[in-house]
Amino acid sequence: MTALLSTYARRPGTPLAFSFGLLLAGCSVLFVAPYDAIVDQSLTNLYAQTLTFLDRMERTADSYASQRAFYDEAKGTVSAIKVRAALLPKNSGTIKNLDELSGQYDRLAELHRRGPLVGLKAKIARELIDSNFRSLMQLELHKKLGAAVGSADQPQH
Amino acid sequence: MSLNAEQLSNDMVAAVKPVLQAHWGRAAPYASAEAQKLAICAVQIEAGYKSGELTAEEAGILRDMQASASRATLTTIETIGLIAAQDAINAALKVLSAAVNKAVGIAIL
Repeated sequence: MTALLSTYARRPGTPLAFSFGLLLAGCSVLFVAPYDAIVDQSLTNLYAQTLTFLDRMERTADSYASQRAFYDEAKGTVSAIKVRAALLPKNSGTIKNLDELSGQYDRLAELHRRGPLVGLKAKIARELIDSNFRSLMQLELHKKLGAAVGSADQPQH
Repeated sequence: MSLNAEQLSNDMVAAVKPVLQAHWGRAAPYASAEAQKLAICAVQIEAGYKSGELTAEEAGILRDMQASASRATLTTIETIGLIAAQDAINAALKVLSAAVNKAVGIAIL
């Protein structure tokens, strides 16, 4: 097939198909929300604060009661990031993972109430919370990657 | 100027390939590394409980944390698949749009 337009001229109904092609070519699809630099940066900051907290707990073995503010602040930050993420359409993956992260702070607090965050339990909890952060950051990386490899409609950052 | 369907199809596939490869090249090592790390945590929780280093309650909380981390990993892998499909389709549509504009002679799309 070398001349699609001339074929259209010979077959009935082809103008409609051509118009559909034109319409389709003018569109782009959106299955997942675009990259949001503020969400990405906020997650990176919260991750750094969490790692710093866990390092300090390992060193000082402080009680839950003396560190309760950390959990309140971390959960508040996750809620704020979730509000930001929810402003974008098709962002359910990120929102689900933020809910999971919020739950991880509840579980970490529960673990802390039972004793200082040191030793094996601290090591495992840290690895698991790391995994939740990596899940969120991988998503942001892939949203951003679309722009890097030439996606039509994703912003460059 | 007329549209050549075969050439257009080849151009669209050529636009899609690097997009999918870029996503897969980063998603595959991530999925593999997470599966390995989560498996190691599961073993450590059970070993710690058996050795008495973790109480039953602590082991239970850590198992819940592991379930949450696993769910998040699966959500991420599923969403990366959607992002890859979206970017591949958009790359193909961009090629189609450029070809139609060139054939018509003006930028109508």
